[in-house]
Amino acid sequence: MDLFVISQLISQSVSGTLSDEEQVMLEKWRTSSPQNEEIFQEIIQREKREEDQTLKMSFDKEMGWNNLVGKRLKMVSGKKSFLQIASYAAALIIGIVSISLLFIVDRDKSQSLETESLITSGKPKAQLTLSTGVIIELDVFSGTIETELEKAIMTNEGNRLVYTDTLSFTIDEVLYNEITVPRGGEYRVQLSDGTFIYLNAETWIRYPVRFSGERREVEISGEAWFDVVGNKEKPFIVKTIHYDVLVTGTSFNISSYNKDTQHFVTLEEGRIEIHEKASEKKLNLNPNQMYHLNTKNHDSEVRDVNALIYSSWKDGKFRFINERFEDIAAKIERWYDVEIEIKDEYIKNIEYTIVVDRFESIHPFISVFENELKIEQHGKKLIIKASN
Amino acid sequence: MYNVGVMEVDSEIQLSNDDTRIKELFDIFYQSLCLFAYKYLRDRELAAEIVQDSFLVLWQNISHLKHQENLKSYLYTTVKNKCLDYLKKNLPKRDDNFDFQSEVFFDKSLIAVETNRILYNAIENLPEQSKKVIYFTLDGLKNQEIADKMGVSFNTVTTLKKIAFKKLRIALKDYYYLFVLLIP
Repeated sequence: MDLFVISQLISQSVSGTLSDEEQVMLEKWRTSSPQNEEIFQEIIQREKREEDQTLKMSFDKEMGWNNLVGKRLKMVSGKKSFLQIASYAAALIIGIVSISLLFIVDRDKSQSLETESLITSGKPKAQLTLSTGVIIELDVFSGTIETELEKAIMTNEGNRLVYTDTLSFTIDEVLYNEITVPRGGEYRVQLSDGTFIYLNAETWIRYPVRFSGERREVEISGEAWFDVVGNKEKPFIVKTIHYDVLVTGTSFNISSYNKDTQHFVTLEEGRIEIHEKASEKKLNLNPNQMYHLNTKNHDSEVRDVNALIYSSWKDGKFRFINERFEDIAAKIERWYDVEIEIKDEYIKNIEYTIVVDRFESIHPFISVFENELKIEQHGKKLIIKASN
Repeated sequence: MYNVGVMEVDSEIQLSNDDTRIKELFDIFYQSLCLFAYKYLRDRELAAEIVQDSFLVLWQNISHLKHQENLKSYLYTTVKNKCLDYLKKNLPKRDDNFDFQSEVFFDKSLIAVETNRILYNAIENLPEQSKKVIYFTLDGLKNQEIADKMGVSFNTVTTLKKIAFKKLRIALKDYYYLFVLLIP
């Protein structure tokens, strides 16, 4: 029998969805040779399956595709102009069709600034503040944290803090913990209700150790990706300085730095409601929609987007699609913990599309910008000017 | 490795159908083929390299290859051949002298990888709650244990499970009939 059909039947067998007829087909194959039976027994083992799955997922699809496109371009580049190839490459890599000028930067060849040693990418780093005011450096200490007052048990794994258990259900007082992620840091936390939050650089969050009462409320300034565990009886509310987000079980990305004027909420799955504080306006968001608040003129809008782009940071990627230089620079500042000074006003509005690995050095960015801008480095400060 | 930056100006480029098909196939099979190659090579980077090269071969030839089913076999066979070529040249590097040329090894690896791909693909396309129930069930958890883990009632789990299996059965079945139709 065809190997692909066998695979199909075994996958049904493992998930318990075989019909009688298919069961017969599979058994026929299994009994037709001892080798077949051996293959079957090996494949249905859970450990083996999970091991394979983990290994499979460890192969980076996007990186693989970029590499493949690179190889393909070398092959076809003989006859075409640079611009044609550039456009072709861009379309292949980003999957959109209205692009033109492109820079392919070979990391090994162009080493422009001596940035590598001084400026490094961010890494897991955060401080936990207990309700007593005690501060724990999460990236230094890992293991179990038990606190007397909160009666809570947390496990800290060096990049993630999990509220695993509470020691008592009798405390009525709501006690808060806080996590502060510095510049050049990121951290993950799983709250007592199972809600998972991925915190980006320069982000602060405050939440109750245990959710009592009718609402689950957390407060935030900064950027975070939420995967909220659904519970209709206890809606989840994310409070920011300018608006609240009412959630009933969903995943979304918030980018709302208190001191910034531009605030964004992007919904991946489920449904959320935004309550603006100043205008008392309420807005509903559907998946792949983005809420944008500009606090300069208190104008807000909801528009359709590809939500995954805005949360790609949590998967270790910087993915900027037609983003303004100024906005990209702000993110670079936070992640690489550098200061960027933009000397010429027009530069702020240049739009770039850049896809790079977040854990790489800052160099790919520099290489792209250097094509048309002048970059001076003074320690951890970069000064950007027009190139002529 | 390439890092790519693009600046927006007005101009257009159209991808050919072949390019789009390669991208589709890549999205579906890349990680599975890497796992398959890894079974031969026991080296992640090498496995990824060989799979990319196999896609490159397919890209060159895709205009002559029309049948979807052929393409899948074509990919697995190309990857296998490239792995064998490599191993023949670099055999001393593997010390556990397994018979990499045996047909049984190919069959076993292919079935393991394809079973995994079909199964996880069907599960991943389920709605969030159903997905959780199925994963817990595959982990061998009892309904009550699943209920506790998900913070829902026992009855909810029973219902979710029923719906999930119904959907899964359909997902896996559709796929299967597609196959039967394609096999002469």
